[in-house]
Amino acid sequence: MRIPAIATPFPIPVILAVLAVAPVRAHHSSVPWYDLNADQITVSGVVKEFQFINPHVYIIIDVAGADGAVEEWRLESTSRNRMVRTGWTEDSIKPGQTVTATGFPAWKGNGVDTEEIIVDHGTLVWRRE
Amino acid sequence: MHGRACIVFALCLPPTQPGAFANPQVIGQLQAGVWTSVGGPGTSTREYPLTELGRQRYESFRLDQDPSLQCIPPGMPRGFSPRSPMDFAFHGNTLTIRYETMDVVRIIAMDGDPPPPYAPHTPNGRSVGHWDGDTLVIDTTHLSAGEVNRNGIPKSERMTIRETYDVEERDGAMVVLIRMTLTDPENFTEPATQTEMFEYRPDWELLPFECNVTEY
Repeated sequence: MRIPAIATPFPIPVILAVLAVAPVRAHHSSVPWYDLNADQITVSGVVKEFQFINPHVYIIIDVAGADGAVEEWRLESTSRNRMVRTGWTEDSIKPGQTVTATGFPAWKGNGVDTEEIIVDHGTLVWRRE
Repeated sequence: MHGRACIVFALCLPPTQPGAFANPQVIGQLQAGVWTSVGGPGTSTREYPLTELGRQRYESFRLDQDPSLQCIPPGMPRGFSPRSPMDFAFHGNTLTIRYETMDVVRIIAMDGDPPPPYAPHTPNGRSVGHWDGDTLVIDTTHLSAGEVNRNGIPKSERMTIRETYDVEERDGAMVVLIRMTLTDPENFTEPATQTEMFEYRPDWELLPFECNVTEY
């Protein structure tokens, strides 16, 4: 199984909030793709797809900008196996739900290496250990 | 006469004699189930004293060359990724260590002979184990060149690895301390050491990894 890349390589970020949070991780398997020295960002959107897979779990969301334009973002999490052991399943998130994620921005494209995922304003929460 | 005395007093063998003191209790503890990485003081000390050649290799490594991004197991010493749950199984003179991440399986020949010089170099190399008292010792040679970690610390075919495993009880939990010594005359000016602590999780089992190649 190959996961498609984000369609727009250089989109204008639609960031609803930017938080000045110091980086907490020295490294991660996604280092080539994310700037772990940047300030963490927070994005909110509506779930399009939940990919509950290894080596990393992905949530694809639509994020609406102030002008009404919608952009697709990809939220990357830890491995499926690690999330399984915290009670998550492939049915934990469904299309149409609202997700707010905080983490490190991708070097390019609309991506976040997430430190925290909040589903439907708190009905389900995941935080990196 | 001397031979008969040795049979009678077999326990007088020196503790470094391979296999002399394979403590069934320690084997039982290691085989009890799944072990998972835990942090803690004194763990994960990793400093790599690079030679000039090692430094050049490190600086020329591109992060997107990491084979794990293509779901290719990078081999030892990364095979025992500190984040990967693992388990142990002893069968006769063979120890099998399974790592959940990337579904890696290592075979260790207990009390086996060193591999012949012409043995091929592979990502996990050839591993021979023995007991030193209650300490499990594993020596690995015949590694293929690659990286020690995802940041590109290099390893050459001349790298050898010594691992020791000690089961202990800490704060009521059973843990295994794993100490590794990496020797690589091409890339390191002196042996590099690191220590990891894994905790026994009786409620866990290893899960299939089924890695998916990710395109960015």
